[in-house]
This record gives sequence, structure tokens and C-alpha cells, in this order.
Amino acid sequence: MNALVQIVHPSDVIRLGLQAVLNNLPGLQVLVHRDFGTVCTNFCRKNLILFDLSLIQDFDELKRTFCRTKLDGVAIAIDGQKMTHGIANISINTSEQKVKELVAELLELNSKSKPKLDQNSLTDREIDILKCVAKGLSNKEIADFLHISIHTVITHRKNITSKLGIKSASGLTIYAILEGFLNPADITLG
Amino acid sequence: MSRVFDGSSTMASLVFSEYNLLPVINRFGIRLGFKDKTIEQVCEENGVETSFFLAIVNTYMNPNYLPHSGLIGFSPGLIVDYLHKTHDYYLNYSIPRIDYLLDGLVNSGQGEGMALIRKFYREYRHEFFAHISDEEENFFPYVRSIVSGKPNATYAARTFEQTHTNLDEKLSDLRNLIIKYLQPTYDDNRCNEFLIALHNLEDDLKDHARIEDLILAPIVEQVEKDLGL
Repeated sequence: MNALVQIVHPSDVIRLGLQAVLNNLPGLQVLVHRDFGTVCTNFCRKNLILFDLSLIQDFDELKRTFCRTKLDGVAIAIDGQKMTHGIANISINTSEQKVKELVAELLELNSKSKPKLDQNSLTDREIDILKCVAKGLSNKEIADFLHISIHTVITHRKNITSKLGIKSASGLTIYAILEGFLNPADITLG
Repeated sequence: MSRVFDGSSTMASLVFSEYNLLPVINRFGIRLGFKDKTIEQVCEENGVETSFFLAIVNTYMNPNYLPHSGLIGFSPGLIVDYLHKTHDYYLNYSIPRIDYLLDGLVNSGQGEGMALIRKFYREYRHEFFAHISDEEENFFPYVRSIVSGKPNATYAARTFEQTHTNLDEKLSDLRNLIIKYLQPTYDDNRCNEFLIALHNLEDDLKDHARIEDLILAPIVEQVEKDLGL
């Protein structure tokens, strides 16, 4: 679960009604509170609080306290109340569909996973380094061979490991063969 | 963060909350059939020091847990005995079982990928045995020697920390290679069995390393200081 949605509203009907609407969205943990006193501050990667418009000062204070957390807010207005600027608003007349769309948008639930895939594939330079590692070269030898500093080699290796989740040289060698970067005849495994 | 257990919880609730603790509990000579006895009662019946038992199981369940009170109070001998038992468990059960499951997996598939996985595992297995025999032959006897007050001067905990490598690192590589990159030519059920066994060993090894690095090493250093080493 990487998104936490909390509904803070004194009205049981509004609070529980919104909870029922949002429980249908996948990947969300939804908590409900009467006031900000019980709000859970054990935040997730993405956080959203829907609160009664009258509680906006409590929300602002929470946001200041946890200024490093990704925390968005939606103010809930009773019909006829003036909407606030600078924050998303819904009113009690907003349709179920619109509420879902707004929450999904604020939490970026619909963003495609494609960019992430691209992030995790190796760059050409990283593939060069990978091939050297697989052939059993040391960081120093790789630096000399590719005419780069040893520091750069180490940075590339760290990035390769964090992208692939593989740390050991022999694990990287097997990866290089499985992905066709290397011919197994070129190397000898430990 | 899971719950932290104390002596008044029932032993059964401990098992219900984490099945992977079963072999850990067995290492203390404790077997199932606890009825509603508390952890403290079961420990007493089995001649196990409750506070030590709790330190071990709570460390297992909460990677960030450290038994603050009386950390130095545990005898290093007690910890070494426990670690020795976990070694026995790896050598007599975990590794043979993984060997067997890997054979089944490799034989159910085809292609070069399977052969590479087998080769990687064999290399790992070799390092694993070397690591364990180093601890059994050098580090543990050293700890026992300083506990008895007659330190074996040729080895020090500092040496241990320097030569000590993370045994779970390559296991996580192996898991990543299979889950993310290996062509699935194999039988799925055999692969799942293998991965689950691997995962259990990985968890157990992480815990083993935490006990060595965070509990045993500081105590040994303190004893060395007291002995003026």
C-alpha cells in the first residue's frame, strides 16, 4: 500500500459516505476521523486528507509539521460555503465519479508505469561497465579500459545494482548472459 | 514494525504471528503442544533463559529491535551456542533441502539459463560452507576462550568484522535473477517451492547476521576491553 487517504469530518454521514466511495479504489488505505486529533501521521509514500472546510487551519498546521511528506488536501464544503483557493475542493453535491477522479488525480493513481520501466533499463555506458564486470575486470581495470575515473566506475556500478537488484559480480555476469549482452564463451564463471 | 512480545504472551500467539519462528523456537529445544502456557512458563520448563529467548525472537520479527535493557547481560557463550545451533540447522536442513529443490527445478527446465543458475548456486554454497567453518573453527572458539578468561590471542573480534561478509547478499541476487530475468522454461510449482525455501533461508540469515553484528560483536568488544585486550 503506497497511498494513505484520511477523511476528517464531524458528520458521520459524510465521513462514512466518502469512505464507501473511496474503498472501491484499488491500492488505497482509507482511515476516517471526526477531527484532526486522531489523524495517523505514520505516512505512506503518497498521502491525501479530505477534511471539512472549517478544519482548514488544522490541515495547514499538519502540512507545516510534516513539510517533507507528500501530503495533499481536499476541502469538503457544505452547499453554499465559499470554496478556498489554493487547495482542491469538493462539495456535498459532487458526484461519486468526480470524487474518485479527483482522488485518483491527486494521488497519481493512473500514471502509467512505463516511465518507471525505462528508468530501470541500463544506459549504454552502464552496459559497457556491466560487460567488463562480467569478464572479471576490477574497477581499476575497467577505469583504464574505458578511460574514465575509478570514481565514475563505482558510481555506474552502484546505479546498475540499484536498477537490477543484483549486487555480486557473478550475479551480474549471469544477468549479462541471460539478457544477451555477453556470449557465455567469453567468460569463465567463478 | 510487528508487535514486540514479552514473557506474559502465550507461546502459541507467538507462533501464530510468525510461522518462520518455528525453527528458531526449536533451536532452544522447545517443541509444540504448548496449550495456553506463556512464553515465560514454556521457557522455564525447558531450562531456557526467558530474556534471551525474547531478545532472539523479537530481533527476528523486528529488524530494528534491540534488547536495550541488559544487552551486555547476556553471556556471549549463550549467544554462540544459539548461533552454533542455527549453523546446524542450515547444514543439516536448509541447504540439503534447497539442494534438492534446486535439482528438481533445474531438471524440470531447459536451456543455458538453468545451468547458469545451478552454477551460481554452487558457487554460493561453497562460500556459505567456508563462512560457516570459519566461524565454527575460529570465531566461536575465540569467543569461548575470552569468556573463560584465557583469550586466544591470535584472533580478535576486529578480525571477525573485517572478514565477515554478508551471506544473504548472493541469495537475494539469485532470487532476483530467477524472478526477473530467467526464461520460465521450468515447472512453476517446483520453482515456487525453491523460491519459498530460498526466501526463508534469506530471512533466517539476515537475522543471524543481525545477532552477530548487533548483539554478539558489541558484547565481545566489551569483554575484550574488560580483559585489557
